[in-house]
Amino acid sequence: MAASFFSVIVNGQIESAYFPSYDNLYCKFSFVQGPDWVVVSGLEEGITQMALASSPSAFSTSSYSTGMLAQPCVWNFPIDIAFKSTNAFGWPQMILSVYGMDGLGRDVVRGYGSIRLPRTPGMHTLYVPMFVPLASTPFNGFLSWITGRLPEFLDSRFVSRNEGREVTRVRSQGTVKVQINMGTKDMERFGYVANRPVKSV
Amino acid sequence: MAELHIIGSLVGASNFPRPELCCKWRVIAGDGWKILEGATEGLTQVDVPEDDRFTVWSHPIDIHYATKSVTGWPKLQVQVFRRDSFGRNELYGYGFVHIPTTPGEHALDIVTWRPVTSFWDEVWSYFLNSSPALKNPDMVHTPSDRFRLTTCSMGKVHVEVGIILRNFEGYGVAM
Repeated sequence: MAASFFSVIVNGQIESAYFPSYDNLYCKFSFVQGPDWVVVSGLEEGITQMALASSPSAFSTSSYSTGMLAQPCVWNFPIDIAFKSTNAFGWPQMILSVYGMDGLGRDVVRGYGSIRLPRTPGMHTLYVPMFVPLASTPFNGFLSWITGRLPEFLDSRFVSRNEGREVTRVRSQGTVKVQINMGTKDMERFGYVANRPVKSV
Repeated sequence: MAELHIIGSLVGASNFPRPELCCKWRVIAGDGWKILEGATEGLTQVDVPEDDRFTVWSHPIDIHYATKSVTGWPKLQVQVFRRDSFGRNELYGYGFVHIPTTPGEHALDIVTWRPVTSFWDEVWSYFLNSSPALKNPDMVHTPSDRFRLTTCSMGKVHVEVGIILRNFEGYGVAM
């Protein structure tokens, strides 16, 4: 019996972030998904508390490692969301933007990042590399240095797209650690095989 | 028709001589393959990383193919460029990898190379920040005409990709 849709259940947390040169950070997150996807329950976007890094603890990252024992900002922010869809195209992406305070107490962006939710059920630890846009011209760079207003993306969902990325220059800094438990329902009844090994029917 | 989803991202690059890199990517498939949705080529951002060891692109890939044939399985071809402070692009490497046939998640490393010519051309390119490029980049993923080429090895491009197959089993195809 073929199913008419399949569901994806996402539980997890935005655990912490490690930015070598910044502290006192908070994080906005949102999900971006394709046109065939519907959110059935849970919050599609949210904002964490402001966190101060104090005690050193392990923040081991993958290949782009930046120090094993660091002082991460801990958010421990819960994520519970469920989707349903009829098409794997447009598999949800999580968009993160991290903000901090500058010396005058203004909110300044410290990093944008995007990560595709895992395609396989199970528990996943994801490290999201973060980056900020650089000023497009040296004059704009000087201007932003003088005024203290750093360049930002107009729409943070820009980082989840393919189009228009070639015109941006960015500086990568910092990493956010996300723990995700994925569950899928009716993927196989829908005809999809997304997991090794292939089950013989 | 059987369907294939390629969902993942171009994570970044490492081990190149300089880290200010961007990447031009393209997915190439055989004649029996039809693109239903998604972009099969693109250009990433230029990253000037804080940590010189790793360039971040974090560039999404989401492609939906339908196919009548398992030959001509898609390949991902990359061209890495270095953007210098004057905005000029210098070729830093070519590479390709086959999209895995096994469903599930895969972390792939694409090894890259660039063509080298004579000694004086190398001197020229050292001072002008321009390196020789291939006239026909299709050579990167086709097996013909490689023996005339001299190349030098460059860094690695990191790709993270999830493969979802649909209805392959109905045709008796095991992946």
